[in-house]
Amino acid sequence: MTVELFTHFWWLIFPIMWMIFGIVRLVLRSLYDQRKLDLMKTYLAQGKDIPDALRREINR
Amino acid sequence: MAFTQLFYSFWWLIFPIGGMLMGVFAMISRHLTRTETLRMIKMYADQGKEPPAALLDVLRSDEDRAYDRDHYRYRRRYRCGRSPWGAVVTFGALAAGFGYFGHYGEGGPTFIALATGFGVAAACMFVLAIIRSLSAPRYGDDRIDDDLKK
Repeated sequence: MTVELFTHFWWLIFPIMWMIFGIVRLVLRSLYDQRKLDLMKTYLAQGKDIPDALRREINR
Repeated sequence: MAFTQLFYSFWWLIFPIGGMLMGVFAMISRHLTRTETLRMIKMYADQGKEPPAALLDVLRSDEDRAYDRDHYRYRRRYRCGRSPWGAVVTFGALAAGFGYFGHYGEGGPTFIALATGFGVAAACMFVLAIIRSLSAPRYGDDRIDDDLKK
C-alpha cells in the first residue's frame, strides 16, 4: 500500500520540499533580522552611527 | 522485496534529494556565519570599538557582490569563478553524444529528447557566455584599478 502510494506520488517530494525550504528560509531570515535589529539598538543606545553595512541590508 | 523494487525504480531520486539536503545545509551554515558575524560586531560595539571592515563585508548580500568589481577581481584571482564556456562545452558534448546514439545507435526517442534538451541548454549558455564576456570587466582593466585605489 505504502509502496503503491509512493510510486504514484513520488513527485510530491519536490513541491513539499519546496514549501519546507520556504519555511526554513523565512525562519532563518527572521532570526537574523531580529539579531540585526538588536545590534542596531546597541549602536543607538551608545549614541553612535549605525554602520552602513547594517543599514544597506534592510533594503534587501 | 518491495523495497528492492522501489530502489530499482527510484534510485535516481538520491541525486535531487541529496541536492536538497546540501541546499538546506548551505542555508543553515550561511545563517550561522552571518549571525556569528553580527555577534562579533556587537562585541566590538559593546567595547566602543570600530568593527573591522572585513567583518562588515561578510554582511553584504550576494546582490551587492554581484555588482561589485572588486569581487569580480577577487574571484578571478582565486579562480573560483565559473566560466560559462565550460558549460557550453559540457552541454554541447552531451547533446552531440546523445544525438549521435539516438539517431544512429539504439538510444531511441529518449536519447533524442535528451540531446534536444542539452542542445538547447548549450545554445543558451553560449548566448550567456557571449553576453558575459562582452559586459564583464576584464582583468587589468583601468576602471577596476581606479576603483581599487579609492
